[in-house]
Order: sequence, then structure tokens, then C-alpha cells
Amino acid sequence: MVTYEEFLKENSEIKELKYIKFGKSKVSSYEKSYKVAIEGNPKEYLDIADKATSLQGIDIDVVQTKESMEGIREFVKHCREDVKISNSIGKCNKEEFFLGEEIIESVVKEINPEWTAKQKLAYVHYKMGELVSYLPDYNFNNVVPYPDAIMDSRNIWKGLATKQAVCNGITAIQRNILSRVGVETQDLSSGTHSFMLTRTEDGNVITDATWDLAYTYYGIRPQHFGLSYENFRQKDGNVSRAHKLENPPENVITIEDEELRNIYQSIGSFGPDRKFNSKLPLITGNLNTQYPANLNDRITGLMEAFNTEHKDKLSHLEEFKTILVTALSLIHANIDNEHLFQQCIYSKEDSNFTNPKLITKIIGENQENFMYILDPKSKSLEQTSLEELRDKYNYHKNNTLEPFWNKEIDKETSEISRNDVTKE
Amino acid sequence: MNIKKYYDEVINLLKRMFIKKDIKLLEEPKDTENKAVNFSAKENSVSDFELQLKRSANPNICDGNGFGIVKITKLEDIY
Repeated sequence: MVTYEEFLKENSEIKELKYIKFGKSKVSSYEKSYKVAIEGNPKEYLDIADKATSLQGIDIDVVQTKESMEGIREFVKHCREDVKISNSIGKCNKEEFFLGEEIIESVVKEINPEWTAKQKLAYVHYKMGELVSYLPDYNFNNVVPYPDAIMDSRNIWKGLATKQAVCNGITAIQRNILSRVGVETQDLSSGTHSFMLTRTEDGNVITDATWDLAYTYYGIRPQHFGLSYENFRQKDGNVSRAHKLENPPENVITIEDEELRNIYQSIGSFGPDRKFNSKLPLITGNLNTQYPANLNDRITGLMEAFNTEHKDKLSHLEEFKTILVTALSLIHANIDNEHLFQQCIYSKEDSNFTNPKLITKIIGENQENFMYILDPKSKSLEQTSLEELRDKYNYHKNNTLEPFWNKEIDKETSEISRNDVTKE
Repeated sequence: MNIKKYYDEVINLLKRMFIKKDIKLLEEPKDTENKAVNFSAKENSVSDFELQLKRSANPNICDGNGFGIVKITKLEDIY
């Protein structure tokens, strides 16, 4: 056990010990007066946790073994109550840290240590849909809705405790879990987006759990698991550079459909029919059979099905937003910008814009309008009207666009008065 | 001749006024909210003007989570 006094003697450059870093990365020279990096067993340093009253933060490298994390947990327990925990980015409090740790450890327990790296990766990739939801209303027209969440949604434990994260946070959570079960990973960053490279028995595998979040949450086949770099760029199409890398990784292998199904079958993710377990194909299939000639009935039926069959999943706003596009295309609805519009809105009473809801407007046959509000807090999906939207809701204050309902109400009003004039 | 000189001076004055304005616009944002906006812009920004134009044509596009970019339309991709 290293005593606090010995520790200060060893780190003579320290003026006031404010931060401790656990992991292999070094402390930069300008940080040396207040920060120390510890590579050894954190349990050996508990006296510092007990006595360093000036300690404000603990910085933990993303890559950790199961044992080192066990030691870090013990260290954090001994720290002052208001200590903040970070993985280089974002911060969480002690309560969030231990909640996050509980979640991670339960996932680690579910992973068979005998599995191959590919199997472990597949398991964690799929689990992410259950663990977090993409931060709602993030980056609409390059405007961030919640400045506080920018860093926090990238913190491993905060992301898990609040169930909200963005790409870097999702990659960090995966890497942290996988490092505890002995799988080597690397963060791939295009500057606009973050995804992951994993070293496996057969070569390197590229995955993007963020872009798969809606699919893994709704039990659908992952779409961004084991694609080649070129395939990822193809998916970006001509509107995104999310996966464009200056130095694409080498020795990348692709995982074809057959192998992907073998992997998921071997880890018990689905039954002998080798199908993923989403209810969506059945729901949309039934609607197509029941109302073959009436798209509007299919749209109403689909929204009802979300409210009943998928009610438990309505707490994830961004994933609903994505999956609805897929579901609508499966009932042969038009999903172009003219026929489908989705936007985060906030109740006028929500002056801090902390409870985003989602408005979905679908144009069906004969220009019939379907408008639904998703409230992720109450997991409800309810029909609404232009008047209700005008009276009760706003876009986020950082969104400079005019709410669509204003224009449409104006249009309706002018049409009514024109008709009145014609009648007269 | 005098009129041309006068005219040039007015033009130069106007130019100076506009240049000053440009410098003002490029100043670092002061409040935290604007800094946050810049952080976001960094995560999702693209330098290519044409690309930006395509993205702005569809306000739903958020490539952080792939929304508006990847669309599954075939049943076999789901199972």
C-alpha cells in the first residue's frame, strides 16, 4: 500500500493533487502540477483516495482489464463524495459511475469467456441498442440542443446511467466492455463520426454500433457489422463523410450474411430458423395482407401497432424516428421528404427544452395528413392537429426554422376565406 | 478629375467599412452556448460546399446516427 505522504514525495512536481489518471496514457507536462497518472493496481493507492481532500476528478482510460476496473471501483468508493469521473471526455458523479459499472459488469457476465473475439464483438454490438439511445435532437442543422449533454453523452458511465449517448460515447462504452473481456479494439474517427475497429482471429472487423442502434434495439439484422471500408463509404452515399478516414485500416475482413447468422446463432441471439427476432416483418406483412388497396389504413394500423406491440420501445426517440422510415417503406408508403417529416418539438411549458418529443407527419393517399406526437417519457404515440401543435409546442430555441404548422394553418385559413368568397 | 478622386475616396471608405465588418464577424464566440454550437459543427461539419448544400436540402439528415442516410426497404434485410 502506497501512503499519501510517500505518493506526494514521489510526485514532487504536484502543487495540489486535483486529478488522478488510471491507465497507460501519460500526463502532459502542463498538467503535472495537479495531475498524476497511475499505471499500477488502484487498490494499492487507497490511502490517497482517503486523504487527498483536494482530489476533484478521476480520469480513466477507456481500455481497462476487468481486474483494473475492480480496483478503480474500490478507489472511487474511498474518494470524496463530489468527485467526478471521466474517460478523458465528459464527466459523471459517483452515483452514475457505480450505476454504469453495474450495467457494464452485468453485460460482462453475459459474455462467455470461451467465445471468440468475433462472437464477443457481435454480442456487445447488439447489446448497445438496449443500453443506450442516441441523444435526441442532436445536431439538427449543426445546432446543439443541450450544451451540457455535449460532453456528458460521450462519458461511458453517464451515457449508461442516462441511457443517452452519441457516437464517441457509444464507441467508448463498447471498447470499455470489450477490453474487460480481452478483446482489442481501436476507435476510428472521421472527424465527423466515430466507429470501431476490432482485432479478431481472422483479421480486423469494422463495425458501427451507432448507425445500427435502431436496428439492434428493434431486433433487426445489424446493417453495419463487418462491412469493408469501401462498403461503409458506399453507405455514406454522397451526403455524408461519416466514415471517411485519412488512413483506412489494413487487414480488414468482411463478414458475409451467412457468417453473420452463424455468429449470432452461436451466441444464442436467435432460434434455429436463423432469423432476427423483430416483430416488424410480421406487423407490416399483416397490414399489407389486410389492407392491400388502402395505404391510409396501413399507415393508421402501423402507428397503432407501435403503440401496442412496440409500446415498451417508445422511450427511445431517435431509434423510433429511424425505424419508422423502415416500417413505412415496408408498407409501401412514400418516405421521401414530400411525404414524411419528422422533427423534435418541445412543450411550451418546457422552457429549458429538456423533454424533447417527436412530431411525425405522414402524407398518405389522396394527400391525407397523419400527424403523431411521440412522448418518450410516457411512451405514448398520439394523434395531433395543427391547432394543438400551434397552441402547445415549439421547435428548440436554437432551431431557426419556422414551425411547419404555422405555414399550414395560414394556408388552410386562406383556402377557407377563398372558398367563402367564391360562395358569396 | 476631382469627381473621380472623390468617387475613389468614397469607394475606399465603403471598402474599409465592409472589411471591418468582416473582421467583426470572424471574432471568437464569447458565450458558452455558441461554443457548444461550434463543437457540434465540428462533429458534423463538411467542408465541401456542394455536400453541405445536399445536406441542407434535407433538414432531417444527421449523419451522427445515420438518420436520413441509410434506409432499409427490403424485408430480407430485416430478418
